Amino acid sequence: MLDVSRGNLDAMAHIFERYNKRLYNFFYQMIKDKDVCEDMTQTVFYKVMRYRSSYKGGQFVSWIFKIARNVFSDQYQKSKKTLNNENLELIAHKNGESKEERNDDVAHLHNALNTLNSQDRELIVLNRFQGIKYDKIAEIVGSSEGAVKVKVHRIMKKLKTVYLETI
Amino acid sequence: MDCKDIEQQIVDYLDGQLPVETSQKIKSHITTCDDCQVVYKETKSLFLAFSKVEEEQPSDNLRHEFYKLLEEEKQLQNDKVVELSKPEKDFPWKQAFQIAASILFMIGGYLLGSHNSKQMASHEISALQKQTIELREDMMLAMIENQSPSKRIQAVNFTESFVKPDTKILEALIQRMEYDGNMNVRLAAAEALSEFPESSIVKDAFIAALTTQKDPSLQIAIIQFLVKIQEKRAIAPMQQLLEHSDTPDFVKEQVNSGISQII
Amino acid sequence: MKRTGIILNVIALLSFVFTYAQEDYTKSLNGITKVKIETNTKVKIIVGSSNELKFSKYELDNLDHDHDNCDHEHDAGGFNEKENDRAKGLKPVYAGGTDNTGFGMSIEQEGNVLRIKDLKTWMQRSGLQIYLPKTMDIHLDCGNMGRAVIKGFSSEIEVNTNIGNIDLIDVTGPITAHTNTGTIDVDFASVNQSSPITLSSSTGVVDVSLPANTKADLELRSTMGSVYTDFDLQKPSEDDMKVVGANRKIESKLNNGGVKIVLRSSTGNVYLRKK
Repeated sequence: MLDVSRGNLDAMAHIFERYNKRLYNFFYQMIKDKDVCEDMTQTVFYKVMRYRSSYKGGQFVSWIFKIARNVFSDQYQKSKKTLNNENLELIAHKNGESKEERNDDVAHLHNALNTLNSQDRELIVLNRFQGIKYDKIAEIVGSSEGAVKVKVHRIMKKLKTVYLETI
Repeated sequence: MDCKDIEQQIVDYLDGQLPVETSQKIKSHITTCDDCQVVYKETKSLFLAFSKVEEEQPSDNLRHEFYKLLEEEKQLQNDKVVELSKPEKDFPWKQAFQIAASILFMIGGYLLGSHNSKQMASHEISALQKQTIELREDMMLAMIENQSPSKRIQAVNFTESFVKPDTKILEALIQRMEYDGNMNVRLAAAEALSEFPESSIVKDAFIAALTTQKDPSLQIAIIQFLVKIQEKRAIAPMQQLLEHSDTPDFVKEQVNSGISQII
Repeated sequence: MKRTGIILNVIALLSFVFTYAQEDYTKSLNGITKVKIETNTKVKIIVGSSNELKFSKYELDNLDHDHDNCDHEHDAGGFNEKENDRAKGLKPVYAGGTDNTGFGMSIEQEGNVLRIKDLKTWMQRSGLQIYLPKTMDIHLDCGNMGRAVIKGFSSEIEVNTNIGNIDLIDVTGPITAHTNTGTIDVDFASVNQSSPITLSSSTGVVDVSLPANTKADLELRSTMGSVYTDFDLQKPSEDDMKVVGANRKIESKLNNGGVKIVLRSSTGNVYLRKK
């Protein structure tokens, strides 16, 4: 990444190969719309490329997810303007469900995830699906490690209750 | 340790993120407390559901579009380089630091006197050096799984400049030594790892590799490292190599001279 | 006498060509940046004229060294598939996959990589000639019995063989080549500075020719063999000599340094020539 921030764009290709699947799946777990997710993933890399000189060291994974998060909330705000909340939820989840019926546990998990608000869902996606540790999540969302940890535990408990109720 | 603690920590317990002691305590509590047993089982079933979620594959279009974008950006950069002179390009790293350092000197000199300001500046320098190493580590990790073996070797070579690399760097190297599809990458990883003889995970990895690796070049590199660090635990697996009929004679020679040097 | 010999040879060659004539296979390489080939026979890869992949029968030419002749006799010796009347109307079936080329190969595209798997064993196949564009990245695995000749590419090349020799001619790198018992001969047209070049043989010779003005950080290693060169290198330091056995490692910069070039053999000699 040092090379990218210095201007060597070839290094950008490595970053892409390393992170494209992760970012895409991050978005996909947030909203199950493949096209939108690809667009957003592309936007992240575009921003990384554009703002590469603003990367000042530290954990690269935190930096790139910070960007991803901004891209997501931009998109979210945009959709909010055109649709009311209910519709958004509907759009957000319609694509995922039919396909994942094949696996009951997974379908139930997704149902449970759908009951979370987007902040909570984001924490779970980052921690459980992306396997990012509390300290880095704290960097990404601009919070403290302790706070993130407590939150994740609380959400997991809630998720567990919903999950077990629907199973 | 009460039930409330357990509920608080059950996620980290299942993740294996707790210190051994705490996790031992939780384990023994769960076996005796029915309520917590339930919490444990429920959480585990949730974890199981998470593990069943499959990773989605972005379409080729994403890659295609990205490389198109990259080409455009390169074009743009080339144009810029023509317009601007070189110092401009180096600006963020060199000059910014020089300016920052001189500002620090000025403020520091004003507030604390010149002696202290020097300390601050040197602190800044070490912070900057630390960042550079972190960046290089990221670069190394970003390239280590590249499909090109030459690039993977380049990533391995990055570690030459690391004095005390992070465990994740060492683990990435060990993985390359053990499993990389290209023998040259494995050899390069083994050689890079030889530079860190004080690390116990490196030692363990070499001892394990002695019995699993079949390529003679790699076997020799491993033997040489273990002999250099006088690793007594290597003697038994080395003697096994001598008994194997498929060990080439020249490797056996290395083993023999190696064993005599360890003992 | 001599003339009769030549005529006989020509007749033999012609009958060989006619008996085993097989249609060439071609495939467009749009959107492909790397071709990966797995086979067990001798392979010659040369630069073709257009952006396509072409397989054809192995043809002996001046790229093949003397020792290849014995292979040739062996190849003609009857392991080849002959026109078989019994097989008329039937398709050959292979253990390793489905032949989707009619050439005994299975081809699959994965992203921008084309994977080619030779379904025939080394007894069924007597060499393979492949044409590719000059800038196509190549990854060639020659299995247990195969050997490799690659000429004229300015792309990245990865080659692995077990007992077969590796001959790379008029290439630029990056190159990553490994063989267990074979010889590696590489003649560089120029040296690409983007990423490292690594050539290693466990027991064979490594022989490399570089343009005199090549910029490189050289690392030459031979555990039991010797290193020969006409470049002006630093002497190996005493420290390196002390290591067990003799892990002789010579590090030296060529023309003030550049891309890393590692040449290595455990028991064979390493030759580095200036050209």
